[in-house]
Amino acid sequence: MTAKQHHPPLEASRRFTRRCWAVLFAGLAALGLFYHRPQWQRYRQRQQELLQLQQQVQELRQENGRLPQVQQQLDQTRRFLDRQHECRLLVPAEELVARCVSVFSDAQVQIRQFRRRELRKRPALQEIWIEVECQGKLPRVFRAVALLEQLSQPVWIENLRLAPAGEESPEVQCRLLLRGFAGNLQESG
Amino acid sequence: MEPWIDFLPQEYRQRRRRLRRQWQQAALAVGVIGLAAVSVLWEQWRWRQLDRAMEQARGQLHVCQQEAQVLQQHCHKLRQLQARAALCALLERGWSRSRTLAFLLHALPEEVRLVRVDFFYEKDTAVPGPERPARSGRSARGAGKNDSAETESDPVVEDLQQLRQEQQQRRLEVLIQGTAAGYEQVQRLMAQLRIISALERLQLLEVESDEEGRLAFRIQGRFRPEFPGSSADPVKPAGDHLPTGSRRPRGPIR
Repeated sequence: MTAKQHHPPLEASRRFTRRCWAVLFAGLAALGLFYHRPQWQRYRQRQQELLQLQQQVQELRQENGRLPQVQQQLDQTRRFLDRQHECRLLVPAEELVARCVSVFSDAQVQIRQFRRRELRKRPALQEIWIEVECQGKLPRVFRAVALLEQLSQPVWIENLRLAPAGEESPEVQCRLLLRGFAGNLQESG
Repeated sequence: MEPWIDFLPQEYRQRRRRLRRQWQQAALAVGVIGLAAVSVLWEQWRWRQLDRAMEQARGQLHVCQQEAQVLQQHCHKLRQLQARAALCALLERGWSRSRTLAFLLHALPEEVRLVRVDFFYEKDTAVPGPERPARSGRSARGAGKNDSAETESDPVVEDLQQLRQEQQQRRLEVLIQGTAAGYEQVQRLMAQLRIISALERLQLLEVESDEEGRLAFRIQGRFRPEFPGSSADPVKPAGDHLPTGSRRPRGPIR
């Protein structure tokens, strides 16, 4: 057995090594090209998505920061409306008319004419127009007007005309055109 | 220098060198493969981190979206309630007639007799014509408008808009008719009436002497625009007319 048979020639061994390295580098290149590069691109896209998401979260958080303030405003408005309803709950139309009549009797003013003109239905409210002609001494008529203004229900004095009842009469005649509002503003739902 | 004699065959030395190079190359190859494996593992780890961050952000977004939904509902409710509150405030009376009358009679100079006092509303020509409010209801909803359209379709908002517009387009006026002994008394009455700060304009419309030799006069006053939320005392100084929160007028008659 010769030395040549025991050890393959140097040239063949080198070729084999070079082939191995070539395969290794090709594998590395393939890894970089077909795995790392697409992964990198996808990663960058995903990172952009993440940034957008985080930005969205940030914006929403800022926006939602108003929540306690809105809640507070809501509570305040509710309290205001509750107070309104306690003291001047919009009563039914009939009751409103009755209260208007009672104002004149409370003030001891004689009603000469009391006419409900019309009932107008608005989307949420009812509007009642009342024409009143009354007569009495000036302080009493005043009192009636003042009581009307103090009514807890919303009654607007659209027209008010005061004139002496007669040439020699100590009384005055008062013509009023009232506009009352009835309905329910209680929050629904 | 001592001579160094190498008795080993040349072949042996070559073999050793080759073996050493092979080991080196194998180590290098293992190193390169290891590096590649580490890079893959690192990539995986990076992705896992990113996925975790994404998941976390999505969770936060979900929570924020829920909060935003609650906020939106609250805002919608608030708009509705504010419309109701505004309507309640608008339904408050304007200038108190009784207080105006009380002041008028209190300030009436002697020798002046009132024949007629008239409070009425007159259309305000200074205000531009009615801009038709987007007839809310169906049309707005039909247009697919978002939240504001929803609020407009609220009947309370409709009432509020209509009444507000009506209030803006009219002014309270007072017409005072009477007789006086002379022009001086009329002037004095005019001066007294000017104290009523709610009056924006005061005009002596007519002065005419009657058969008895008295002067018949007509004075017309225009009130400042009424503001919602207070039954205002018209005689207070102008600065005091801002709504105060006291809602009921005090009775002027003692």
